Amino acid sequence: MKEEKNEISKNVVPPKVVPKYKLGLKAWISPFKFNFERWMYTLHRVTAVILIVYVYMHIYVTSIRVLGGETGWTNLMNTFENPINYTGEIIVVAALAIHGANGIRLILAELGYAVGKPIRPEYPYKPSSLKGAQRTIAIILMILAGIMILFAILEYVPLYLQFFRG
Amino acid sequence: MSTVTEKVEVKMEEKAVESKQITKEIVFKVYRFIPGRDTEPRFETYKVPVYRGMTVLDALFYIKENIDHSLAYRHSCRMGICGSCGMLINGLPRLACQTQVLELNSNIIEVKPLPNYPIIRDLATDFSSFFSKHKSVKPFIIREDKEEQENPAGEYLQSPEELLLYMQFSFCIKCGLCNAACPIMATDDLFIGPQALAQAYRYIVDNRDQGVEQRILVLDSAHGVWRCHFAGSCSAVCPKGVDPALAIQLLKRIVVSQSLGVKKPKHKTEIKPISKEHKPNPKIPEAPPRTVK
Amino acid sequence: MKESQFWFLQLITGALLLVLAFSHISTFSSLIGTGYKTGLEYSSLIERAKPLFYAIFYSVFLSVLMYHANYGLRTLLIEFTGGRYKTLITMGVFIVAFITYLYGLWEIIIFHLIAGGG
Repeated sequence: MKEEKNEISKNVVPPKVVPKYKLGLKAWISPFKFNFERWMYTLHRVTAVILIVYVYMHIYVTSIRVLGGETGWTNLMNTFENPINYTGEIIVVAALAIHGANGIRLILAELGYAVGKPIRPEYPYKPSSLKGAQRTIAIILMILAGIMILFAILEYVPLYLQFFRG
Repeated sequence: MSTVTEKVEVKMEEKAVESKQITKEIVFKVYRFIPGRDTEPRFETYKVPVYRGMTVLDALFYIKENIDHSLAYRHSCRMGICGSCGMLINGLPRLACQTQVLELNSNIIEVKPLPNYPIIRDLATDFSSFFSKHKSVKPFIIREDKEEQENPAGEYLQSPEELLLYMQFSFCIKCGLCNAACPIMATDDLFIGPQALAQAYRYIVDNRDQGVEQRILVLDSAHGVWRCHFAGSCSAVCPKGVDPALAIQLLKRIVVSQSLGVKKPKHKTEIKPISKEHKPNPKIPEAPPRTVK
Repeated sequence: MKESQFWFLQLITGALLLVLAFSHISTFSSLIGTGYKTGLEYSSLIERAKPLFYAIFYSVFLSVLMYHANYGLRTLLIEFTGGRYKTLITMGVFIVAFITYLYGLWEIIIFHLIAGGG
């Protein structure tokens, strides 16, 4: 009798046709209805993918200064002078700013600092890790990242104007 | 006197009837899958009359009793302490008995089984991998002093501050909502999950436990604590305020300092069994002799 | 080396990258560096590549970046495929990363030598 009690799941036979139960990639990229830290997690992952793709591309593209010499480089730079390229570069700088800012917060939080202390749960249960210093730090860091993105956009505005007017 | 109590009873009954006044009818879209009969899942809609204070579990009772007897779902205590009735209600994992229908502020309520668990039938999911992951972190006090365990000489001392270090995480009711909300559990099968990690922390930080090394192998692996990236959804959906995200971040500190060889300040005190100094109360009779060898 | 040590290195390289990447980008900004248009001309590239500091800075930058990016790539791939192909993914990412790293290092040093450095 004792063995039967512990093996509850053996009496339950899962169906032969099991419908899809894992949320999959949707859980990574759609943080709707969830908390602030979940949005930061999504942003961190999305910016990480943008940066990985950009970094690999960047290493191989800038090698044209060695392989193609001066002419190859100048031709490449001329093809890059269009607004689509400028927008792409702004997006990459934005991704770097957001990923870096959230990274600073993660370094603190994942080492156990700024996440609050264990408390006696009282109703309504507001978890102290989501209420602690890391949330204010995250907002401050995001504002700093926003300032950096603003500087980047300001950098490109004369280039846009030059393209559309000159 | 009897007329006074009668009046009070009548008034209470009227109030009960008044509070159960049907305010509106709400449509419930419930996920259905009957193995052996269905090849793929479907949604069925039911119209349920709703009164103030009705929970989603009450609505499921109504559906099963009056509309569709074949609906299968898990429930037990109906008061938020057993952890059986976890479901995905309007996009968030919640306990059905703790979710008021009118608080959801919606005319259509979608009830689906908890994600990231294999589905057995309708709203019931298979928790066997959940339990085996929980078992793998050895969720019990591990002690090395065998003689003390066999012939106890006294109590293990624990101050209220030491209790507070882990007490919050001991309130876990194993409902599985945290594993359902975790974005890593959505893609990674082998990740042991926020519930198991929080329970591992609860036992490691308990000053009566001496088993850190035995648990570190499971925790310091590629599917242990390092697959958590602090999305915090586990803490956001926990119905008991256990805050597994906090436990995991504090656990990361312990695991990293252990593996880097950094000496951490001791959070454990010496275990001192109270023994010879204890003076027995003369009014209390002596205990009968031991019958178990 | 244990998983926790790899993860801790990710934190350290992340913190280093904040400084290194920010200084790399700011060489093209109008405030601190040479400005976008002038900074990307071949002549100014040559000028910046002359000092030895260039070779050292970019080699260190590339090493730190390759570790951080590829640990992250490995994490993403392992979590996406459900943890079944851990060794395969680790080896694959390591090979791709190593090849790119060697290529990048070679390219930095060759350009430094072309620019007339010592």
